[in-house]
Amino acid sequence: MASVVKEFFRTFVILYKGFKVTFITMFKKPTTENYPAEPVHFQARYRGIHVLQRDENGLEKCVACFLCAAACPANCIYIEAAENTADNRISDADRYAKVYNIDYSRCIFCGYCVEACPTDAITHGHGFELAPYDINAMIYRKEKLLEPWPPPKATPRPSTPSPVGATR
Amino acid sequence: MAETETKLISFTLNGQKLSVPAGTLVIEAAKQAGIEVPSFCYYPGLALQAACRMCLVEVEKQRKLATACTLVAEDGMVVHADTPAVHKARKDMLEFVLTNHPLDCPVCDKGGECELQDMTFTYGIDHSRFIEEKLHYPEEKWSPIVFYDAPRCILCFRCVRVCDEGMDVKALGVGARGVTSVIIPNESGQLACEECGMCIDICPVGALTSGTYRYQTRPWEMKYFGTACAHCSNGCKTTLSIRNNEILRANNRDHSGINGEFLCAKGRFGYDFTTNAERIRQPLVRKGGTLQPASWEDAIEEIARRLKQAHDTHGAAAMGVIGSNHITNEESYLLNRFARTTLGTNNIDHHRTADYAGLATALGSKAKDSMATMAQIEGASAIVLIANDATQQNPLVAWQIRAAVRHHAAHLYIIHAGPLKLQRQAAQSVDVPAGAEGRAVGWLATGSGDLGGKITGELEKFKEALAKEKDVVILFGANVRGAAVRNLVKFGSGLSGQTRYMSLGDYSNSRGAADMGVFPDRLPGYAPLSDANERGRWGKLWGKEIPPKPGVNARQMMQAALEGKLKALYVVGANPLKTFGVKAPDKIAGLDLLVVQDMFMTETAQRADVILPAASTYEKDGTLTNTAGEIQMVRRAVDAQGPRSDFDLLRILIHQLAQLGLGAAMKHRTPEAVLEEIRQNVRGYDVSIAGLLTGGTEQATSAPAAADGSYDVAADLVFSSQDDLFTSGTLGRYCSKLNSTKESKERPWSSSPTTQSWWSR
Repeated sequence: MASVVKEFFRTFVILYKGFKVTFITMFKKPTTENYPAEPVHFQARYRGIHVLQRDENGLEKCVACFLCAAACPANCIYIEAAENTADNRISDADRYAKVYNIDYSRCIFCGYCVEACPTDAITHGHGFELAPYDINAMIYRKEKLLEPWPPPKATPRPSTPSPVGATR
Repeated sequence: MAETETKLISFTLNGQKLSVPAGTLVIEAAKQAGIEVPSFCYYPGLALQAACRMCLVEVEKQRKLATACTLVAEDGMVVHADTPAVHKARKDMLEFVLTNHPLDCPVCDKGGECELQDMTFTYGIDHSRFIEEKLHYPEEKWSPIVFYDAPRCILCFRCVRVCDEGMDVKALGVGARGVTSVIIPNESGQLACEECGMCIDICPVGALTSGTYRYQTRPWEMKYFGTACAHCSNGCKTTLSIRNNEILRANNRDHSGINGEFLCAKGRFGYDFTTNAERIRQPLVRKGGTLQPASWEDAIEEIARRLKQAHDTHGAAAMGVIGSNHITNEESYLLNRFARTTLGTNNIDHHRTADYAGLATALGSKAKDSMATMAQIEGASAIVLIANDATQQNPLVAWQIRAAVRHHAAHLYIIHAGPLKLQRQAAQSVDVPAGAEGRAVGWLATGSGDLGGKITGELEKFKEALAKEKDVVILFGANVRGAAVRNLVKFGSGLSGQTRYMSLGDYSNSRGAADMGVFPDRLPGYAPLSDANERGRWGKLWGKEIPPKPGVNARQMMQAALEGKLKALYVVGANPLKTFGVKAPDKIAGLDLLVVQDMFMTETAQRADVILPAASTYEKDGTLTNTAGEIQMVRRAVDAQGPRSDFDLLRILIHQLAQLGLGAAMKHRTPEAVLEEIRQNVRGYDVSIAGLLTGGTEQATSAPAAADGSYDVAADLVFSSQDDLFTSGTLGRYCSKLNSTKESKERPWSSSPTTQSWWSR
């Protein structure tokens, strides 16, 4: 008899241990995202597709110093620099990036480029939908990476969930 | 160097006993011993400045720290370069240097190869105690290729000294005092100078930047190719910086090669002809009166077919070949083979810019010890310069002459028509009428000649002074030719000491073309065509007998073409219509076929029946021989988009024609294989291949086995193209960066005094 009671208790403890997380989670708000039907929520420091920033005047922050390319362990950043002139002013400094490509088929999203940037020009955005049908489409040009200017009205920033597709 | 300096003294540096020649600076001794003493302003070969004070060292029994760059090592001296006091001094000096230096390394062109960056990392500081606002000056554009950013300047005055001492241009100076000092150019904010760019190169920081390179890339992004310059005959080594198959910069910061760090405006900025929009990039064949693009197969086929046809109908005597002063030795050698065995004619010549053949035949077997190298100019006790404005035509020679005079108190003697900038360095200068240089040499050798009493008197003194010199290098230009060269050698061998000679030509491989026998009457190595043994030797090597009858020279060929006696003309990398001043309508009347291998649509190419686009010196492998006979390897630094090397074109054509029954096919496929054949067969070219492969130079002393007392040459065959610092024959027209300077619009030999610049005189 005693062994039956003992067996019952042991089974109960085992079941409790096994289902503990299940039961606790059952009453919590779900952490899974209903992607792609619903927007994805990001942590603020999520390392997504890069964004090339502009300053308050709309000039590009990038001065084509090549430090991101030098820091990149995957060697996926390609830059061509050019000189700013009075009638073609792109950045605030003496030079700007005429060409700025990131090859996302190589990028490992380590964030070294962001760390290396002396002007905070390159940052991680929250974009992540990279899959294309053509591998060449994974090379993002400067035009695609730049922050749009003038800024679109009421741009959803990382704090608020953004609709899928418009995510940066 | 003076004999007295060989005495050794010994002193202690960082506890290490060093033995150095008396008079050695502590900083130099440290460098040799591998002990690091940092400096900005000290630069070997330039006057001592002691401005940056980075090289402070501790000397025992001296109260204060001393600058190692001005401290001469004395016997028994005890120096410490690794004590806390020295380290603190370096740190403090760097802090001073950085008081006004902006922190714009990310946009500074020097970032990555900056001496100040390196020093700050090695000795420096991560903070500054100065809270004062940094001085700021706007950037200045001194010329299209020199920019000055005053805040970055650390006032080491290297630029001022190299411009003054090295270049003898004196275009830079120091303005204002103390912390507000700035470097100022000579013409109210603008530079009027030789635009050599030495100041840019020598600047340890990014204060002086190059207008042709700035803001394009960063040093670590580029690949570096050491090769020889494509312009003048001095054969300076230049390091090309390549990114994306494009040359972005040329300099020689590693001091390798015969020129050290020296480069002139052409070497430093004249590389952009390779990407000029006017470059011919595909074969063109004339159809119905106009040149039309064709495939390589069609163009080669067309040439082979029509050459064979012309050869069969009109005979070998109606064929002609004009060689180039720019193509490599291997290509000139192949061209020679092509003319003499494939086409079976001795009608082969080129624009001779100096009488190399004259010197070789005058020297004969003495050539091996009698041809001067660039380094020997600096080492000579006396230099004789005849009929050449070396500053303009041979910038490295002029640089070496100035170094010889400055460092070793060498004596410079000049015989020239008109004023020369090098007269500032000259011990004696004889001004003779233009064209009379040869007669002056004749007077020196024989004591006869009609020159007028004044000049004769001066030459008398000239002769007396030279007789006392021990080690003489004689440099001469194109106006000393034929018999005058023999007279010169006769005069030179009569001098008491060692005498060496250098014939000064115009283009990157003028000497090579001559050595490879691109002459109607001389075979490779200046072997006379009349010598049946030599003919037999070369004929055997090239698979077909060489005709014994000497060919006609370039001028006669052009004349024959106009008269209709020459039916087919093959031109490689030359512009004979312009060079020889041939007036021809759209089509050269007598020619059935004119083939041109060139990079650009020259006057000659415009009249061609077939044009094959050729690769430039920077786009192919091979060797060049400079005017001193120093052989250097050139390397394919960039790929030519479309054109092919002259080597490939000739090789293909030789094969094609061999199939049609003209000449023998060749087994060599690469320039290296042909270089091997040259080394084994051309007299004077049996040089060490290891020396060439490691980027060094080897001197070739090509000359016939015996001196030839009868060799003479018509005066209108050997002539200089009178290129100056900003022109480079046809090639110079396509160097847009070089041509963007205002100095390039001036001609130094212009007779109008208003266009003569003081800096070039």
